[in-house]
Amino acid sequence: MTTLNPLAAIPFRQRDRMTYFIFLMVPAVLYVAAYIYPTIETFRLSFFEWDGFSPPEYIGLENYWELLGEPRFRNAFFNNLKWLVFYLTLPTVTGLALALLLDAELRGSVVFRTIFFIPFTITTVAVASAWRWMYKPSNGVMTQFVEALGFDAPNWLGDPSINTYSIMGAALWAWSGFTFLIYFGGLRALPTELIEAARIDGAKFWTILFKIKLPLLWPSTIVVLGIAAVDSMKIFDLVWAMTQGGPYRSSSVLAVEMYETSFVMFKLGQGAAVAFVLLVVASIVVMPYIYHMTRQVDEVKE
Amino acid sequence: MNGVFAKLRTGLAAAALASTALAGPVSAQQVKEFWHYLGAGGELEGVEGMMEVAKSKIDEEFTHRVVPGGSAGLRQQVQVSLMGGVPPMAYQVSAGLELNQLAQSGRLVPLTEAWEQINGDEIFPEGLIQVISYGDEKYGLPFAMSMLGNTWYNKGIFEELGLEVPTTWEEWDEVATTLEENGYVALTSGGGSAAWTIYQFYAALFDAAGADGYWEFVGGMMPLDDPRFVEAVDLFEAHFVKYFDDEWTGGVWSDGLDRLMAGEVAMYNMGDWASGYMRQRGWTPNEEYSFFPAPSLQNVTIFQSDVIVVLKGEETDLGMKFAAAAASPEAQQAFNAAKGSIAPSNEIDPSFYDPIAKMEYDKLVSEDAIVLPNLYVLMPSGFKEDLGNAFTRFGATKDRAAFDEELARLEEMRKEMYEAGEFGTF
Repeated sequence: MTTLNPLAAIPFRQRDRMTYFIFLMVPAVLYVAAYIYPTIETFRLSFFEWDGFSPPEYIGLENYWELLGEPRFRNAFFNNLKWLVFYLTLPTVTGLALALLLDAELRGSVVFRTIFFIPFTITTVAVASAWRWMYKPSNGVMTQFVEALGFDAPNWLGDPSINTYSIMGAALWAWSGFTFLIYFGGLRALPTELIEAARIDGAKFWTILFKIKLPLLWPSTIVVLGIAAVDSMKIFDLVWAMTQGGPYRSSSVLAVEMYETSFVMFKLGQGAAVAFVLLVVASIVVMPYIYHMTRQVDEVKE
Repeated sequence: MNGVFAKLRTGLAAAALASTALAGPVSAQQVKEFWHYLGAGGELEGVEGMMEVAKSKIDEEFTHRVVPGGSAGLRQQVQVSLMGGVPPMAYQVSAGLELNQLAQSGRLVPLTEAWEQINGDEIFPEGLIQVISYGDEKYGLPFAMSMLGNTWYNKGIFEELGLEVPTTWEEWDEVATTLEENGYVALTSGGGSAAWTIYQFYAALFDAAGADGYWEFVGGMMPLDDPRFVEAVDLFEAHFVKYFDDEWTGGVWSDGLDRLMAGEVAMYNMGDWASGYMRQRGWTPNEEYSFFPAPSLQNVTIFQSDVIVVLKGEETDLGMKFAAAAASPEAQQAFNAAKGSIAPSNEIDPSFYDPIAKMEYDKLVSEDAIVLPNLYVLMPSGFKEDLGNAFTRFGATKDRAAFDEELARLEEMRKEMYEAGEFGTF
């Protein structure tokens, strides 16, 4: 008797492998098409001078040399570093503080939880618009608040020495909801018996925080710091929507430079060079996180 | 191992070929569409009016499409459509260096035949003709103009202080000083773009260098340490920078108008889209607000213009017919009446203009009119943004020494770019 199923002739183990292979092919193809190919193509484009219409001209490393000599590029790079320091510290500490506050079972904590998380759900451009209004030089809420306290309000978005920090204020408001949520979830998952035992032994709040809670919250911290590092490198929308990198490029970041160079100045080759530098810098920043996460997965496997 | 390398080489060669093919001109299967970024209320209404007129003149099906993201967004879409082989038959371009470069790229169809049919040399201003020509050919047909170099003012404040509009720099200073003495911000600038402050420099440049010098500057032939340029900077510093307040860097261009309408700022030098903005917010032209040309620009019109270009492809003929139809007086009237801009053609009936647009139109068609294009859109990318940012910084900080230092750097850049042929020829 002959079988109707052609796969029946294939050994079970081989069939099993084939199934894995087919299932893995889908994400692999998508990954190659949507990420690997564009990355290679961007890298290739960075060696050309191209306005998008005329035929591209090969110019070797010239785009990279030009970037190194550009003050605007160095300024944007420096601003990205500021964003990195900001993302790794302020929203992390704020989220943790809010989570600790609400973990103390305050009355109305459900309402506060919602209030703290809502900013994170608002789209970035809306956040930028709202904060632009608040930062308006003559009648913005922030301006009036500072003036009501008897101080001269700064030109929040127009003063090059502070405008990046002003944008960070908006980012802090929006991003802390996320860090709060991660830490709050982490706090709720901590084994209560450890904390209770410490309390019975007479440990104070700070001792419990630094000796028990924070070490146990390390996985949450890793998640927060990893995502924060990635976000600090790819920051674009908030800066673009609030200042477009100005005035006179003072608040610009690498992603803004990439966009401006490619789509405002139509120097697509040089824009690709900025993109590739951004990718390399982001990889260096994010690599420790990836390494740590991979090691954790390996430990779980063992 | 050799096999692997051979496959890799083949793959790379294929990728290189594919990307070269994407970058080069393609035999386009064009869509019968006119792409533009005129999506706001009056603008869209204007395009629809223009399309209606064009359709009544052409016995074929075609339509239009709004592409979001302004000129940069449209350019990206057109680039991608060219790579994909389905570009539009025609699209909107701002007349300037971009048009010049597009003409050089070989993507565009020369529109000289259509130009001659509509008698373009007679109906469009000379300054406009110069920026849409490349060699002996015309590459765009204009359908709208916006004017720059005018100073918008709050009439209520001027009436309250008994001020007359200034026509000389001395009168300008007297007006500005009186305004400041009475607690008003005499003059503000626009934040959010590198262009707004340098736009205000044109009056000073024209005063110091005249029309010929203006064109020299546009072509990259005037050094930034040329005595005429230095004199222009002196004028700009004395009559503009001196009076700028210290708030505008934190806002966008429309914030200046909000402050003018709130009675905080008295004067604001901005393009004529300022009028549309104030009218939309309920102000009546020539009652609550009006404009006067900056001193030295009494008979000078500085403009920027939107033109229609036609891409090479199988719908080229339809694209050319559409561009010619859109340049007709009826189509120009339909578009500009709705948008509130100025029609480039002198064949239209000017009765549809509001009082502000009528003043601009009269100035444009007056016998002694000098019509010059917005130099910012004529200068090469990289240089113009840096120059614009230098002017913005100067306007904000009022630090002449730092500005001169930046100009010295930009002069090196200008020389290099000029020698490399990156400035346009108009």
